Amino acid sequence: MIHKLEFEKRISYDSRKNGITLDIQLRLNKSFESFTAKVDTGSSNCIFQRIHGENLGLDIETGEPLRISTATGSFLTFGHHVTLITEGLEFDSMVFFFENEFVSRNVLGRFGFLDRVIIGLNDYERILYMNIHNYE
Amino acid sequence: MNTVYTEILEKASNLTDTERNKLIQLLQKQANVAKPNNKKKFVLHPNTVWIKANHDKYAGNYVALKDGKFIASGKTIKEANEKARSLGVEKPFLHYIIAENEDAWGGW
Repeated sequence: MIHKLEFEKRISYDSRKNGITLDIQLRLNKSFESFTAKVDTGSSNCIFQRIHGENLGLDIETGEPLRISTATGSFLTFGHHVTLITEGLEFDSMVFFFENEFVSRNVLGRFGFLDRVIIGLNDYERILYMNIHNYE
Repeated sequence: MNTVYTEILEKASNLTDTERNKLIQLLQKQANVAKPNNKKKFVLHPNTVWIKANHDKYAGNYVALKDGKFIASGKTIKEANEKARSLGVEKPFLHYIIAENEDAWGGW
């Protein structure tokens, strides 16, 4: 049986960068913050640098606290409701910001990103296909 | 290069390891200084307020919210969304609340 998916977006990603990197934008009211983030199927949540939340005007520590584990320890983050925009697709999500201002990772994880898009990956050609889930 | 920069470079070579690490941290902190923002005017989004207040009750579930009000919950995003839609809310805010006994994982 052949399964077919159709995608609205076809994104060529840069093979010189580590991981699969997307341009993203966060929006809060009239503020925007643009940067790049890695698609990370192993990350539970979307986690971004603290500075990006601060630039949006968020008071980071007032958010929903969430301690996140890694292979070597854990770190504290705080979640906030923002609008996440990538490749012309946008949706509201709770994303998390590092408490530690010196951590410089940005990842698009499962809850808040992967659970609301459909993606197809052709890493051989360095192409990511993507649709927003219409939940129909 | 300006004189101050050259002078700092020359003097930095005389620093102890501890002093050098302190200087690195200070410079990183200065580089990461946030743009002016409206933190004083910041108001937490009503959906975030609701999630903080109801975390324990709905841990391990997706919740569907609208303007800080609970609409529905479900074990999957699909279930929560479909319940909300059946109640007339077309585009609810959907969020999974991680339970205490689940590991939130920072994949990389």
